[in-house]
This record gives sequence, structure tokens and C-alpha cells, in this order.
Amino acid sequence: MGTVLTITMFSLMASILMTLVRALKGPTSYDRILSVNAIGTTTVVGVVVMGFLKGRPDFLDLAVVYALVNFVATVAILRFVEQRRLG
Amino acid sequence: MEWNDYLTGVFLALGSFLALTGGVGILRMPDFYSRLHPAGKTDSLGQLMVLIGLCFQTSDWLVLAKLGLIVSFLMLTAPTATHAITKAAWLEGLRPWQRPGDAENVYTRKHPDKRAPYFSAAPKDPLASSTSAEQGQQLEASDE
Repeated sequence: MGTVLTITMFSLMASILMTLVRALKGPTSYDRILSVNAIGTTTVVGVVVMGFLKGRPDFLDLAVVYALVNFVATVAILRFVEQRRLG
Repeated sequence: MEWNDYLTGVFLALGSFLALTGGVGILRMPDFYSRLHPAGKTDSLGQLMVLIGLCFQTSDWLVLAKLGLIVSFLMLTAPTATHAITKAAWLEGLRPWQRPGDAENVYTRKHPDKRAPYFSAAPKDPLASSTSAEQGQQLEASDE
């Protein structure tokens, strides 16, 4: 089972790398926000897979928190880009 | 290998494939609105497949509950974030990309902008205005 989980982890990391290239290239700020949001979603899945790979189910709590923080961060960055202020 | 290992393998392979295609799509699609497609759909389905596949690897109900919680959170927040990004980009003035050879670009013609080619100050809702103009022509034709 560990082999399948490792392959899944590597493909998730490759996806994150490709999305990171788009986040660095832009060209608009919305491309960057979209890429960072996709990276966050993939990272949540990666944390869960890593927890199963290492046999530590505590990682699931981290994944729950990361999912919520990712959503809040995306909406906050969007509001900042849209209105040039927070609040 | 038990039956649940095979099931997990199938789901994880599907999820890995979808994650990879999502990454390639985000990297290679031509503009922002087409990049929304791999980012919004492929990633959501990919994470759903991976997390469903991992559900067969445990018998602990607490782990299953947390996995279900993560799936529901992601399925709620990922489309919401994608929708918010799209709406913000449209209201900012970002318009869909078209090939240079295309004659009719309803979004960018007659409205050059210093932020071109990525932004253009098009009318607020070009589709609505064009449809109302067509309706007006139809009304005139019916009057004649």
C-alpha cells in the first residue's frame, strides 16, 4: 500500500510544481490567486496522504485546519485586490 | 492485498491522474478564464477521488468522520473560491481571450486600454447590450 501512496504523493507534488510555475508567471493577479488556491487544495490532499503514509492519523486535523485557512486566505486576498484595503 | 487495497489503488490512480491533468491545464491553458476549468473542476474531483480512496484504508470511525469533514469542506469552499475569483476578475475588466484572427471580439473592440492586452475597459455588460440592440432591430423589422 505504501507504494501506491508514494506514487500519489509524487503526482500531487508534480501538480503543485506545475501550478507554482503558473503562479510565478502570472500574468494577471487573478491567475496568481487561482494558482495559490489550487495549490492549497492540493496541499490539503497531500497532508492527508502523508498522514496515511506515515501511519499518523493526527495529520487529518492539520488538513481540516488547512482547508479552512486556505479558503479564508483566498477570500481575504480577493477582497484586498478588489478594494485595495481589508475590512 | 485485500479487496480494499485494490479499491484504494483504483481511486488513488484516478485522483493522481486528475491532479496531474489539473496541473498541466493550469500551466498550459491560454488565458485566465480557460485556466478556471482545470483549477475549479479537475482539482475538486481529484481531491474527492483521493480522499474516497483513503476511506477504504481505515476502520476507525473518527478517521472516517474527519475524512468526510475534509471532503465536505473542500467541496463547499473550492467552488465558492473559484466563483469569487471569476466574479472579481470580470468586474475588474478582465475579458476572455480570443485568437488574433477572429474578426468579432465583442469584449475588446473599440475600447483600447493601457492595461491591454490583459484588461480592457469594455462596456459593463456587452452581451446584454448586444441582445437589446438585436431585439430593437427585430422590433423595427416587425414594425416595417
